[in-house]
Amino acid sequence: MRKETKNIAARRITRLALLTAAALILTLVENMLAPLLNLIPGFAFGVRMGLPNLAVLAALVLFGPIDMIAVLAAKCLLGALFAGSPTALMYSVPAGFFSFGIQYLLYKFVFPKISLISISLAGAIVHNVVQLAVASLVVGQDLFVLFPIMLIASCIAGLFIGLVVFFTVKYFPKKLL
Amino acid sequence: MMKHAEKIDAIKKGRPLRVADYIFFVVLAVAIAVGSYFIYFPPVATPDTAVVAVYKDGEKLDDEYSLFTNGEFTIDNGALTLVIENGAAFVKNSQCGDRRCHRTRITRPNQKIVCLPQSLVIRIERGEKKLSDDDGIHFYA
Repeated sequence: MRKETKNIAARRITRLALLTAAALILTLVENMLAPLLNLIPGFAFGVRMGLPNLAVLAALVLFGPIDMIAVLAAKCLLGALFAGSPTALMYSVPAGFFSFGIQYLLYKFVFPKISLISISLAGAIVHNVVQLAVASLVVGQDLFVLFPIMLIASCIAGLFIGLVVFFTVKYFPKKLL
Repeated sequence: MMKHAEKIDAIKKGRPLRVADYIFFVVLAVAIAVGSYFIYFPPVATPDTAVVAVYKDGEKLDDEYSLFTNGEFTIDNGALTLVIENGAAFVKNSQCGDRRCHRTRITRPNQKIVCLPQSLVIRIERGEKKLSDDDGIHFYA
């Protein structure tokens, strides 16, 4: 009995570590892609794809909210260190927790009436709203004039991430759950 | 409410999108289109009195620059150079590093150029009767 409990704990730690590693690799990939995105005219405000959120949403759907919070916290902390800008935490922590709070509620209460893609999209929008609100407070000016362009970018990213998570879950081997 | 395993099964057997998703997408697209229109094309013309104001850490700096007098101005001890040219304002030579602010050109009241690293905001104001913070623009006040 005791051995079994240990086994479950070991499995859980392993999968959390794997998901966190995936999130961090995606952070690095995203950082490499960022200059490319900034070449597109109009995408002035450091638009990012939010690829690491893929791992967090997958954690929510596959393993539940507690694992999601663990991956999210690790992603925010380590991601800021990897990207070399601890001040990014100020934006990523509130935005991440609000965004995934909404996604969790939608997944718990509304899914499957709406798909993972819409849930991801809603999360991306909330992420942007919170990030802009924090940035507005930091700068002391209303920055929501940047909202439409960020919203369009985040919708594309949200759709993409939702679709990838959908197919990840669809083809995820059941015995690993 | 569905259980965890049932939800996974629903994803494994289901299609990526449902009817409610399409409705959500249409509503969102309309909201973005309408919102963008009013933000980028505000129903106010640029008055002759329009000035370019600079804010540092949320505090307005003393100097204002007319939007209709061409020139180059050094802001905040060389943090960046503000260029005003034929009714448009933009930034060059910013010391912030990433220089994202270089991409924005503003021409209408209330439009902004933001330099987050240096906490600078450049904004067009209406001049005599300026759009101040009291106009209810600040959602967090």
